[in-house]
Amino acid sequence: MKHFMALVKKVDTVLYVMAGAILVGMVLLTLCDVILRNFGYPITGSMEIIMYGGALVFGFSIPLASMLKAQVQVDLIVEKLKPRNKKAVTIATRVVGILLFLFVAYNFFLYGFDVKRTGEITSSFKIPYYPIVFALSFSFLFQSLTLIYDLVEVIREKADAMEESAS
Amino acid sequence: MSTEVLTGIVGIIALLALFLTGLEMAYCMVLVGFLGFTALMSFIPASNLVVKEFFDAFTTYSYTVIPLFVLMGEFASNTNIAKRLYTGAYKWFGHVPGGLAMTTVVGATAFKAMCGSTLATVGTFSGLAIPEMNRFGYSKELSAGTVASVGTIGMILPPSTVLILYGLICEQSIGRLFLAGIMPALMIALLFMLVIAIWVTMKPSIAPKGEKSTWRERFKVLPEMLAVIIVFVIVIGGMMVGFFSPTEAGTIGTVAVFVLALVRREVSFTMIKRSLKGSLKTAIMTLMLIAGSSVFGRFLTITEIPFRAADWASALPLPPWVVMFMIIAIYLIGGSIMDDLAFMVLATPIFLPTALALGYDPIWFGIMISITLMIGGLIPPIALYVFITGNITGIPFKTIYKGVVPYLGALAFALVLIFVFPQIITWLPNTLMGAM
Amino acid sequence: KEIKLRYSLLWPASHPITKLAQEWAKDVEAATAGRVKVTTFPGNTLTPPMQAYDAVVKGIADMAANLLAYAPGRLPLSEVLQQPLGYLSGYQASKLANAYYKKFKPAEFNDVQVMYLHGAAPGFIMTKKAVNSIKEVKGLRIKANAENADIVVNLGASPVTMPVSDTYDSLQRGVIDGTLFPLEALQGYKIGEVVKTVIQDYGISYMTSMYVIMNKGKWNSIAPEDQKAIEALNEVYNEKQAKLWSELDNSAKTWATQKGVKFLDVSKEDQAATVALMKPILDKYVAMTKAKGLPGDEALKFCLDFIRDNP
Ligand code: NA
Ligand code: NA
Repeated sequence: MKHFMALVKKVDTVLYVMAGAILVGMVLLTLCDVILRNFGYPITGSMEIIMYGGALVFGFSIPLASMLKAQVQVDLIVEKLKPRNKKAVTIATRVVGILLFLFVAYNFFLYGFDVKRTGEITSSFKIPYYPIVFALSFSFLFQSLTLIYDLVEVIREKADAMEESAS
Repeated sequence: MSTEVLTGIVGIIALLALFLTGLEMAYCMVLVGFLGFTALMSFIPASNLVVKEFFDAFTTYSYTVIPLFVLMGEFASNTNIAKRLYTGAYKWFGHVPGGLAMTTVVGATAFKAMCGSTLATVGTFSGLAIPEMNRFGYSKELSAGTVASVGTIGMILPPSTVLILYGLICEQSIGRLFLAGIMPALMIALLFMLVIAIWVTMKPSIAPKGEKSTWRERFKVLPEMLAVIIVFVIVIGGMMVGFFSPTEAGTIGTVAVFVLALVRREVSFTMIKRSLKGSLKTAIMTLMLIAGSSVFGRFLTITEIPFRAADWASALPLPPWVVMFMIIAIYLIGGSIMDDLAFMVLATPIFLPTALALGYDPIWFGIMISITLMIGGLIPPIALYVFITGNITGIPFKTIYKGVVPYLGALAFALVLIFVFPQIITWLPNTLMGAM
Repeated sequence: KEIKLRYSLLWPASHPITKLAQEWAKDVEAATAGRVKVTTFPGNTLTPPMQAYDAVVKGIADMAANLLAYAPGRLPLSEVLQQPLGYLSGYQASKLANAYYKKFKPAEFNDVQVMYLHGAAPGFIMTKKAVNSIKEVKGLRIKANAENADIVVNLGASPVTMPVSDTYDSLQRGVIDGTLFPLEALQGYKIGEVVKTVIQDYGISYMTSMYVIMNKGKWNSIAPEDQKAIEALNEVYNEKQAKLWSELDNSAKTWATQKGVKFLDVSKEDQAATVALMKPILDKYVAMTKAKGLPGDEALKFCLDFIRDNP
């Protein structure tokens, strides 16, 4: 379990760093495009590369954002519950999240083969779309694993809390 | 009642119930949208719907503006740039009750005019302005409430995506709509300042008054502020003369702020890392909400509820203003549970003919519903702007909602004023472009 | 048993093309004695435009009408339609699109049932500042969709790609000096408010080609006699749609003229020069299809002959 947790954390971080690097690349590309365009040499299809980069930036940020608890949730009611009930609800929502994103990852995986087969490409640079789809599938898989990580933490906390009350 | 409408109503209730379990809102919307689509269509198309809506949201060029603009705000707040700007503003306006909040209203309005994105404005100012106002002792209600509300002004301030979309859907002149949006936007900005003034007078503790600075002190901070103002002018000016598009302005602003920090030797690896992290966090949070909202939105579309609501509203034998009032109420509900742009596209073609038949001006109607959608973004269940502010600053939603309420009052008052005096909208375009 | 079809449309509810699609829906219902019911979802409310084609394949929508260019790479042979072939009118372009489909029955459309194809033409360059010749386009920044960027490049101008919704604002601010659009966009996208000249150089005239498609499974579930009735209606509606495009072009032209837009006629010599400049684009298309084992040369010849023979 320890190895699994370390691996998930590691991969999430690598993905996130890649997202950051791509974002920096997008800034530089837009800057070059604006400057060159005003000298009469626009980068044709820069919009397309920004779009492509954006998809990877968003995709690669998914798992770590979950680790950082960056997704919006309504905790007004849950916070008011007794600790035991709160744990139960949290475990339930984690399980729903895990299943949901396993399902999304699996469907993205299938969709990847589909996009590869139909040969959809970007219009200017003719970059195939399927790598984005597989990348997203991978990100969603790790999103799911991150939620498992989160679940383990929640259950552990429960064990800790029990130990505390016992002692 | 048809199966579709019934399924839709069950879906909406299920969504609200699911929100309360604390499951992430984006996941709730995906889940309910998926189940609803399965119920009305079938399992395989519904599975594909989820994948395609995620894919489409992630590959939409216009959304890339979000991380790029937020990065500019992060750079400003993770160096001393934001700090110096607010220290400077404090020297000038700190003695005015609520002066910093008022400065934020002006700054965010100008910023929105520059970047064109409400989401980016709220994201940027949440990171930049709220900690600064709190540093000077402003209450979190006031600081977070102001920032969450103020980005919405931009919805009718040109260049506005909502108005462009409205113009294309309803075959109205976009130039005319842009002109029409200016006066009400300025009016709302003024009303917001008024809200701050009244609020602070009633509860002075939420915004401690500073000592009045001497003119000497004020001019001393001017060069510090000037650097930021120059960056601002470069970005706005560059856009005005056509060096770059509004979408690109975020990038240019980010680079400009970065260069400014570089000149001041405030760039470090830690600063860059932190800024990138903040930008990515906000971007993915927003994108997940957008994707979730689209999945749920497609489900609502096939329930045909929006169409039924329209038939119902326009068939009622009531005076025009009552019908208009009900249309606005529908927009309010729609805007509160769906993405603003999506609801605009869905509902406007249905209601515009009714509005025209009742004798209302199409330009007036466009601005009116845009303001209504603005309000929709601030009220539960899906108060996108409140969520973004809360998520970036870590301030509880409850506190922000409390802070938003006075501004909602101002927006409602603005709607009433525009209802009674349509000239607020029509005067400027009619004067400059001739009556329609 | 009643079959329900959810029909996703690109155009907003108020648009004449949406109205025509709704008329088609009513006629289908009548012709099949209510066995097939069609509900229209205008303004991309059922599918995002870039996903429309695949959404029909996957059954998310039962039908869609959208741009061929929004399924980039997926319909290679049919890209012949979007080339600068010198289209004279939307009527001619729409009739050609459908005739091309019937003649070649391209395999790339096998995963859907095509109702008919049509398209907007003629596509021209429209400039922010007044110009007096196609030669003045050289060096200007012109907005063009990626699939048409070569047209702009070969005229010596710089192509800029941006979302359609940004075009108006970018023209107004001068981020771009002009745009490549079909005539209809003057009114449809309000471009007539922000340009001075439309350069009517038929040498570059291209078509924005569009499809009306149905999910294959849904189509197969319709009884054969009802399929026949729908196919007969499609013939009628391809003609109506073709006429509608020409009406829309004329109305856009009148509207833009009232806004002070000048329609510049181009001399025979200039136009011949443009045709020569566009030749490499057609060669590139043929080479692309050859590499995929598709009869691009035949498709191109068919289209050029059609345009010549059906003015
Ligand atoms: Na809301
Ligand atoms: Na909303």
